[in-house]
Amino acid sequence: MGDISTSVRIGIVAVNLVIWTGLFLYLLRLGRKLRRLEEGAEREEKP
Amino acid sequence: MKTLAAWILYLWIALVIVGGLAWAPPLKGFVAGGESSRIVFFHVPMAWTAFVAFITAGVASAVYLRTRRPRHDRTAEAAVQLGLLFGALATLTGSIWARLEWGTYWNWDPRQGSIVLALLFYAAYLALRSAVEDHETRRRLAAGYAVLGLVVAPFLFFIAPRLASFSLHPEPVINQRGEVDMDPAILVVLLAGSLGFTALFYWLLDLQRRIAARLGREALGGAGSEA
Repeated sequence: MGDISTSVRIGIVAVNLVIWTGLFLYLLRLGRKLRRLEEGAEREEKP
Repeated sequence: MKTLAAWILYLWIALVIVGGLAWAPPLKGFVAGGESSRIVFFHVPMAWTAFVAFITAGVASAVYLRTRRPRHDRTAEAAVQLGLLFGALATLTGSIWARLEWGTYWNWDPRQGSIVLALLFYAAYLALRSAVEDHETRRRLAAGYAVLGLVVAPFLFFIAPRLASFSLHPEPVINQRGEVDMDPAILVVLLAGSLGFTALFYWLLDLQRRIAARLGREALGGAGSEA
């Protein structure tokens, strides 16, 4: 019984961590993409 | 500054995970001594965030129909995309829980059926957008459809599952009697998770909307202000 609850607990934490880290990395990726686009636009505006 | 805020948000959700694992008690009557119930600390906030996203899309669309400013249309489109992402993650975590609890990933429980209908409804929103070429017509039709979602989403998320005479799904946070009947620690973790994911959603929404605005401007070959 103890083994089952431990493995269920570990499995649930693993799923949560994978999803949360994935969403966080997506947030960082979008931030980087926006920065790149803004820097590119600034470069084009400068003579 | 924004990087610091991102890390604060990351730590906030990490604390939700730790709180859900080590602080909140397991729900009684679930398999593995209640351990399977711990997935609700992610499942419920993600379903909530999907609902917030769809309502945001409806409100932004209503504002677009009133003002005809493209930025509100971009907000609505990004909100639907993110709503589908969070809705899919809620469905995924729900299926994992169903496998642990009921022995199968899917059994057409009323709540499973209603989330699938909601996801199909909003997937059709994106299909509608891609089917119309004229920008103005596309924005107008999509906005009308998303405003309709202001009725459809609350119905599918909150009303339809309660109309069913039988459901294997545990009682929602606000139960059939309209009360919150759960351990305070569980409620705190659920609220903290919902708050964290809602903040994450609005952050992602802002980034996606601004990226869409930049890309749209580049496609037009200009660098004017965001309309």
